[in-house]
Amino acid sequence: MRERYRMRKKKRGAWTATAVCLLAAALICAPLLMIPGGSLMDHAEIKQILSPILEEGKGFAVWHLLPFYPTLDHFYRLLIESPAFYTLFWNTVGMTAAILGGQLVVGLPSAWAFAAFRFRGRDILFGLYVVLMLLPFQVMLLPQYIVLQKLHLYNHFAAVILPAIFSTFPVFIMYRGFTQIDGEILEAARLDGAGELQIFLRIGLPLGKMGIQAAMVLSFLEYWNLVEQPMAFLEEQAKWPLSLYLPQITISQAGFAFAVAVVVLIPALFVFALGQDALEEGIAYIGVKA
Amino acid sequence: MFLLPGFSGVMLFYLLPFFEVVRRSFVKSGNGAFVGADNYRMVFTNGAFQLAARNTLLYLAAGVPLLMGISLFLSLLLRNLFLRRKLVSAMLLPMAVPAAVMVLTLQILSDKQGLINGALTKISEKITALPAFVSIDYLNSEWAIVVVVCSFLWKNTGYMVILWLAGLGALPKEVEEAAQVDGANKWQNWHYIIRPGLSGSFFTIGMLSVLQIFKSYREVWMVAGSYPQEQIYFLQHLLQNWYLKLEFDRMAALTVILSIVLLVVCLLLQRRQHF
Amino acid sequence: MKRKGRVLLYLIACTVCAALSGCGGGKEEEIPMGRYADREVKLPGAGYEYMHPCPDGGYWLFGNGVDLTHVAADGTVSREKWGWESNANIHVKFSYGISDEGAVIFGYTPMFYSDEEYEAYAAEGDSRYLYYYVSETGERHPLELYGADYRKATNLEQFAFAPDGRVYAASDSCVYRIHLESGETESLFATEGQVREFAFVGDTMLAVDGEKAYLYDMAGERLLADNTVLNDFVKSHRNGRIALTVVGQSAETAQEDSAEVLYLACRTGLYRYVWGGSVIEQIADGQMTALGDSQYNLYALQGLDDGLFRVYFSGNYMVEMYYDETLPMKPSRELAVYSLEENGRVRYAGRLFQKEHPDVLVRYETGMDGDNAVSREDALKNLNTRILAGDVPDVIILDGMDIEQYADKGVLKELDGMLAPYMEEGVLYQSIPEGMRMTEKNRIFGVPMTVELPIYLGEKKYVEDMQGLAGIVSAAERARAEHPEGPLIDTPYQENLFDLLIPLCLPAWTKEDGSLDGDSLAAFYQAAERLWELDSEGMSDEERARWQQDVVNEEADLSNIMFGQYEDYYNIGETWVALGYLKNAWYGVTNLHTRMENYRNDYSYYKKLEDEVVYGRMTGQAGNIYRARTIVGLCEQAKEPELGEAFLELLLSDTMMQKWWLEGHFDGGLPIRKDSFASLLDINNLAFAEIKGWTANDISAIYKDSFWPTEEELQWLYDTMEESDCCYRPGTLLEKNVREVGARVLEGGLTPEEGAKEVERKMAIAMEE
Repeated sequence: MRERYRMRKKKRGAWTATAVCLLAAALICAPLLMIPGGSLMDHAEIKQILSPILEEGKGFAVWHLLPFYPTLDHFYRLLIESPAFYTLFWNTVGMTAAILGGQLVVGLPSAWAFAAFRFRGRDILFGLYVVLMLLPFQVMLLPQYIVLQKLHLYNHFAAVILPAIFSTFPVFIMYRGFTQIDGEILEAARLDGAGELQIFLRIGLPLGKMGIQAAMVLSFLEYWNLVEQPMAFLEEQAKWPLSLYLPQITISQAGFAFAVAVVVLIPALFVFALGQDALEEGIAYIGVKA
Repeated sequence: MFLLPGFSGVMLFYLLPFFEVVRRSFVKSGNGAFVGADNYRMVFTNGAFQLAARNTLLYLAAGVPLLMGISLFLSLLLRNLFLRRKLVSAMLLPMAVPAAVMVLTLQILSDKQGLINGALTKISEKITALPAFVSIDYLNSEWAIVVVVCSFLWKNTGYMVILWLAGLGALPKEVEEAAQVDGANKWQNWHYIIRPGLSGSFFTIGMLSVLQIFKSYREVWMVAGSYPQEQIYFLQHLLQNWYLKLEFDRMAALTVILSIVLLVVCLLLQRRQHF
Repeated sequence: MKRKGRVLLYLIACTVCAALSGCGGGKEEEIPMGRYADREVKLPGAGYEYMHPCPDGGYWLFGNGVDLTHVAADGTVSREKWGWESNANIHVKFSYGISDEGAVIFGYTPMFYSDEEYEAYAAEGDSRYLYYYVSETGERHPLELYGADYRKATNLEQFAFAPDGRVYAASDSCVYRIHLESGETESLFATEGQVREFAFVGDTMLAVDGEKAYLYDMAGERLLADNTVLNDFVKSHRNGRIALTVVGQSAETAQEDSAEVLYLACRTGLYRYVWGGSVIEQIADGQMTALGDSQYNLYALQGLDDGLFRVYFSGNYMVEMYYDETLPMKPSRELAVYSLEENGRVRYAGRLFQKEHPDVLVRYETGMDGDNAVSREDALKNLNTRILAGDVPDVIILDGMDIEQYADKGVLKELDGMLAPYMEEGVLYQSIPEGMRMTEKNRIFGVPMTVELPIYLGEKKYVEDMQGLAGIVSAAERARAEHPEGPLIDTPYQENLFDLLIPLCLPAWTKEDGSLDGDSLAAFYQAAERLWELDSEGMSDEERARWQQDVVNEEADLSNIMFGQYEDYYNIGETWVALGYLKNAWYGVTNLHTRMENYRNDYSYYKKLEDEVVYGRMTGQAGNIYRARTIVGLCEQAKEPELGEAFLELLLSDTMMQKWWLEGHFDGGLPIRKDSFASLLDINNLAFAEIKGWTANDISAIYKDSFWPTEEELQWLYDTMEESDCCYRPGTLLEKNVREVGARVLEGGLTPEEGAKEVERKMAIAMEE
């Protein structure tokens, strides 16, 4: 009896939890619903419904989820009439991929080092890493510019990619993932005579997968829409990522902006799906305890 | 050493520039003369700095706990849900939206004649059956900070939920299950098992929330300009305006001050968590 | 292990520092000499749009409304009058093809004289091109290409006559062969984009669109395999560019019979390709010749025997490129010029400067180019980064920038010394640089090249007493009393109202000590609010929205407007009063005295303005305003200070002051140089002699009767320039804040006093920083 009662309670609990989360997700997504609808609306319609905001109309702006006069105009303009779009798109893809890859190569061992070893000054160094991560880009703009100039990297993709690879942000996140690992396992491995590299590869990587994947997803989000660094360090427009394509949006360009947003969001959704799968795996794996 | 390649890069691209910033904080912008602690004094006595610092602290004090709390709550709920993946993806979407579009949505929503006011008016009309004209120009009134905090929460909740979930996932299930069999209720579960297990995550997510607060500057700037309503004038606005005025010496001094504060906070927190 | 790790760490740090201290220095080298330069070729007339080179060294010129002109290799000019069938003449031609012998084929859209005619034409289908063929002997007949369906087919934008007489044409998706006798349009091969250039090498036709180069065997009538060398070139010299320079670029070919060498010209330079080879080599750098000048759009290239090239640009500009042994291959010095937005005058001056100083490369950079995510602040941040890092430009165009800040920080050089000779000898209107004097340091840091004067123009009964802001408001009240319906001022959007009023008032808002004068700001908002109210009284909101849309679509009926913003509108009878800025020395000035009538009819003539019409200086809250444009400053720690000064001197020279205007940039502002100003207003100036108009009946040139200002009237103009000592510079922070807050005041959210307080608050933070 008690069992069944508890089961039912659990189920009800689960349902309320689902409801709450659905509500939260809905709230969060609600403003975003403007985007797909808006991307299909033509200028006239947008002007009409947004006219109170745009100019001195009276009354309030309204928004239709679905356009009355749908048009693929904006997508056409974006995908077909702007050859620049493809260049920029592949720039973004290339840069993000290079950055993520580089972060794995460089940041991963760093995070491991912080987690697995104890050495003097570790805390302070790590604190420094955190501070560097938190500093706004603006303050580093000038000195980084000078460094890049000296290295003759200005206006190359490397000017954006290299500093990003060495960013301390992924180190921070992956570090978290590694600290979850039980120290005893490592000790046991060391006693067994395994070398540090082996420990890293055989034990650290698999067990820390979650942190790594979280870091990758979050890094992706950050660099997919990166704006300030390319603007400062890449002079040639042909090298810009997509995030710099949109002009300072005047509301009259809203339809076009939304179309760009849709196109930019799609790869992101793709990555989420992948990332989620990976995270899931990681969570399940940990639960099983080696 | 594992750390070497990463560290040399960090040294080159971050520490070296940082030292340059420190150097410039002791030097007068424009002619390079050494002025000692003059710049620091100028920063501290600067009225704009005081305003910005206060606002930024308020923003942090409101935004970080709210964000952490809400996302933690949601992640606890989401833990064992079937639809977890889809819901999390949905919550992450705002992060992937380009800044310009986010700003646009914000404008449409919060404008004096925007959607929110429109909705509120409709609602108040229905309830009181009188045409009530709720028309607050949010971004130019005291509500501005509310708008900023709300948009901050909106954008970053999904981000933190993922991290909490990762942290929660690391907790060994058996202990929880065992406790449940023993008859522990939700509160005890939370207090004795989950909370301690998440202590590391607290630090991480806290730091990241602070990071996100700093990064949210660009959207605020795009929506409200370089000199926005008083309460949403943050340190970052000050930094950018100084940059535009070529006053790098003050920028550098402020940066150093900020770094020291952050470093101290971080070290303190680290001690408490003691790794 | 630990120690080894540390040592490694230090090693890496050291190498990093070494790398930073600069890569190895260059060694002394001999300077290689020889490069292509260009000189302008005078064209036998004006208005040509198209040039076709002939293999014998001559060329054909053609365009809308001009005669078909042939210039032979020896320079003799012969024209063919197109006086036949007047209809064909005043059609607007869009696409051309000329054969070596002078046969012409063109596509045009007909002109309509009544709406019915247009409706009828449009009803038959889209208004596509019609085509005409004129043989070299003058026989002509219309061509019905595409057969019966021609009205629905895509337009043929480019024609070409092959040496063997065949005619080819290209639409945006296909290349055709035109059979002249039958009018048959035979489709040959599909293309990805619009083919704009054709060339013929032996039996092969080369067609180039934006993506690749197509090779077609004319004898065998088949498409040949791709030439990867050419394809790569096309791709990297067309689509590689984004946004600004896409229009009008072309890669043309010129053939040298014996060697079959292909020359390609594009914005980046002149290139040489040996047919069938694997390499395209660059023989001239675009940057140092007219090819790189973004002002001009490349159109056609002709290669002559002696290594000369003629390059024709749209807009009637042609240069001859020749190889000069005496010039260094790469210029050794560089002049860095920076401006926030593209400034045509500066770019033009840059080209002139480069010609005069062949060992200097002028590098003109703009902070914001094109419509993208770079905002003004971002561009300024980038500039400041460069300046703080030590890479200071030599010349900086200060439009839209905060001059005081840059002067304060020692970035700008004071110009008093340099300007002294100009001022002492009275070369410039002294009041203007004086108006730019910074009060704190008592020095001048920037000089505008041109200025605009605020003027009002209208019937006495409306404009008398229109002095100051109060005067404008009362004039508006009077006008509104008489005309209660419709819009009052030509300011469909709030920002237009600010555009009009702010320049007249901004300088008055800052007190002597630099603080903000809240009272005058409140008065400004009050006046603006009142004017906006008056304007809105006569319209409902929907009407205003419609009015705005009409303005955007250029369908606005301005006849009801009292206050138009440009004197043109007054003069064509559209508004009752004109408030505007005198921007050009000729049109603007004559428009103060001459009135056009029947503008919308086919012919126009001028008459002198009636006596009741008066004009004068428009004033607001500040004194004698002038609006400064193209403010030039020199930087303190520039690398090439003498070059910078020389550049400024060039900009201040009579040549530049006049030339830019004479090149057709009529609204560039009034030059600040007295002699240039006077000569631009000199009725004996040759530039005024060739004004052509046309009538429906014949195309003989008619001269408009411009009523030239009298001596007194000209003197008034000079005196007004002399008196203008209060500078208005657009783009300051104060203006930005006033506009933002002003929008809320006009909407009623804030009272004028509250608005002033709000601006004060915003500026207070700015001043605190």
